[in-house]
Amino acid sequence: MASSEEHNFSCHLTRRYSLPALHKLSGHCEELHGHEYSVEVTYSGAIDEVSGLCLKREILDDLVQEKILSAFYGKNLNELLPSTAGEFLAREFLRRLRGDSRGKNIQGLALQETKKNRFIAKATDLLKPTEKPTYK
Amino acid sequence: MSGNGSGDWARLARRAHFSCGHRYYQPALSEEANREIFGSCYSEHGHGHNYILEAYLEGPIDPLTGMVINLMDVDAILKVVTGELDHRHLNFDVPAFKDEVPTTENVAKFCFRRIQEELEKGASPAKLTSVRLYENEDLWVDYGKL
Repeated sequence: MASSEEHNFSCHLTRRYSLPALHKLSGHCEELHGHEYSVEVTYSGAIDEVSGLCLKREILDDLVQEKILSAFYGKNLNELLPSTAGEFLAREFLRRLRGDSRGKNIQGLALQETKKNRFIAKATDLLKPTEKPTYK
Repeated sequence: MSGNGSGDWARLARRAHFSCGHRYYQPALSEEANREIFGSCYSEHGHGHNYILEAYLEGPIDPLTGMVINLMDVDAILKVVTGELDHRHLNFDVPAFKDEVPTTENVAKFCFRRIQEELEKGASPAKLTSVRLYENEDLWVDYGKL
């Protein structure tokens, strides 16, 4: 029973995936080292009245497995990507997920590198400068 | 409450816990369809979770108390709402889930509506903006104005 008032409310489902991997960065992180990254993927969708789900969990699990985990789990990220800074990784992972038809409604991704740092990418970050909304 | 006219506005979150059983099962669908939609969450008796509920509220800061809302009042509301779910089997013991599948999404929606109803009974100008419901540390749902 969706009342008109209810259309103002949205539902976001977030799943967290573990991604242990190696990397090094220039500067004081230049020794090859590892992190158990947490990848938090947020999907935005209406709650289906019959199933009560905004997304079947397996769809997101399969997508993340195919696009992120199978490519990077347990790997040296420097051999696979042009940058391994958290800012780049969060955006790149989000770009890969949203590049698939199943990931069109993924509206954000957070990459927790350590307990002290976290990188957040939003779907709007991926837009070309001319497509970005302007804030006044 | 217009207060002293400073118009200071703030947001806060309060957390509560509850544990309950549920079963992902839609009686209107066949066994095969249930299995297909709910996957590993579908089973004969269901399973349980230790849920964590976070309520996000916002409103004007009362110039006398310095608060948006007294957290004791928020706790009392959360106790009422989680009390309707805690240590129950949602499919069998909670009327709201007689026809609705108690997915994390629907439990979050239930909590949002019930907190809103309880909040409206009081005098506080604070509004509930959203809730976050953790089924576990790897899966959570936000529902409300996001």
